[in-house]
Amino acid sequence: MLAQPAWLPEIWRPHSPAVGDAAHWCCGALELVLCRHGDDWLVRSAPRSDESFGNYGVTIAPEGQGDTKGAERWAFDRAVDRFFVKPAMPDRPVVVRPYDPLHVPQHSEVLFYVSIPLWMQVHVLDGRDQSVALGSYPSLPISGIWFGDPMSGMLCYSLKSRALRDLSGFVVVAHRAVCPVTIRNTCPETLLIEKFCLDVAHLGVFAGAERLWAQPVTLHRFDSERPVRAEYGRSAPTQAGECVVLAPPARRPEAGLLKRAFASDAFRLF
Amino acid sequence: MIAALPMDEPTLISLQAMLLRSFLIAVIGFPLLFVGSRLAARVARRNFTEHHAFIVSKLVFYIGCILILVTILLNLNFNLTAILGTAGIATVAISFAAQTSLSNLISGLFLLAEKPFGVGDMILVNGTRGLVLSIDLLSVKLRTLDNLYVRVPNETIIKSDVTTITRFPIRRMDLDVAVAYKENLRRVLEILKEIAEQNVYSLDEPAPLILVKEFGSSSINILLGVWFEKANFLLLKNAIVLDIKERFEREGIEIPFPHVTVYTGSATTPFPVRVGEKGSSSDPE
Repeated sequence: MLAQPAWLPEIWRPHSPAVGDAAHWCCGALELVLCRHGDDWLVRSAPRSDESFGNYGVTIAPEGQGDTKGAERWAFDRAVDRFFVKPAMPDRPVVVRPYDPLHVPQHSEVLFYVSIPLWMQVHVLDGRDQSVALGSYPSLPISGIWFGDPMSGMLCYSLKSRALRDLSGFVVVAHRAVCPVTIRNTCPETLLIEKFCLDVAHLGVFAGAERLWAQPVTLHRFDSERPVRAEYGRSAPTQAGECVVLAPPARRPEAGLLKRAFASDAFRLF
Repeated sequence: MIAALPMDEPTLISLQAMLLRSFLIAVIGFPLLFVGSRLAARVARRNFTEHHAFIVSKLVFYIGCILILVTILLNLNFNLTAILGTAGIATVAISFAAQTSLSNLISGLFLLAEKPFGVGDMILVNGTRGLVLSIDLLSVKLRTLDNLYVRVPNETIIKSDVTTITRFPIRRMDLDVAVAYKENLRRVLEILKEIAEQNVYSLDEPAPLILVKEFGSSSINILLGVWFEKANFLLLKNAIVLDIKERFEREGIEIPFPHVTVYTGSATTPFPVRVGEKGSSSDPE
């Protein structure tokens, strides 16, 4: 079970609806309705309107007020009385496309922030604090994008980014994690970035006092001949301050792995 | 009647020895051959496909059988020259009779080497679209989308254009969209771009293709090509058509059906129309 500092928002904590009651869990464009019926749990996801994206929270509705039509039913052989939701990175790599093409001059290093929409994993807990995962739901509908040429490549999620240079431009929302991305261009040529791919399986989710974070990523371009080297941080960024790990990375990056990142070089970043 | 000559003892012993040796060759050889062919198939399976393993296994087994039989015959002092001569003549005769089968067999080997498709791929050959169930020595077996079993000879596949629909991980779906001449074409193109961007099955990249194809007889025809992951064909097909219809209705964009406008000789003078009841003096009959 996760560490529980006092400032951790309510939506990341366990909840115990009574049998028959419905818990409405909302974050981003996602609403989850969870009901207990004896030893069974019913889970239904529903989209929310755009205007509600900034609001998040959990409410418990009395018996009979939870619409579980179309819900998935989980049957347990023991008493499972609590649920919690854990944010996680998307289940595919993410292609980040700045709204405007970004030029990084030669021998420069720039830092900008990318906000990654998260997936919400629903877990239930039994009396011995053993958790069972019930499902994973995207907090925002994200379109797909193919990273590579039409004959080979990989399917990713598409993320348009303003590539902000500081955090003041970000609205604090619970369904996105901020990832500091440093681009280091030690090449004697200007680097034009139209898009790059982040393998978010190497990123975890950290809860800071104000917002959610992912580890920092550094993309190092040495020259036009060698592929770009990607380095994933091992812990929360320093900008986050005191943090608690909500979800560790799904996969550790392989040591010494050199991969290409940018579309101009083609194509991947790992 | 020819009396059977009694065998002397050394001849009888050597005959018994020959028979015993032949028996041992068969008893030991065939099981070893069976195991050997399985091992060869396992090695081939690790490096190639299941069907390569099948072919290798059969080749090893049949060649081994021939070798064991030749060894047994040699051991029994048979004159193989006569047998080979007879086999040669028989081969010519069989070849003429089995031309088609041999052609299919050789085509099958070429298919395995060239690998234009594999088991599980969806292919289109001679108008038949189906899922490849197996690639065998003589034919390829397909299962059509309406669950029919189709056997396509390998020779047919080698000689025909075969489209492997699922070869690449993504595809483009091309839709013809027709709008009335009176519509604002730039606005229509903008709306189609938004529809493609908002559809969950349509990929952002490669970017959707939107092309004004032609000024048709009844409409302006536009090509909308959206890229998608190959598994989402049916989902995208329905979703995108519904999205276009609903959005066009909301925006008041007309999708015309084929029609003909008749003029009375000049571009602006209408036909005179008179409405009357049947049986009235205005009824021409």
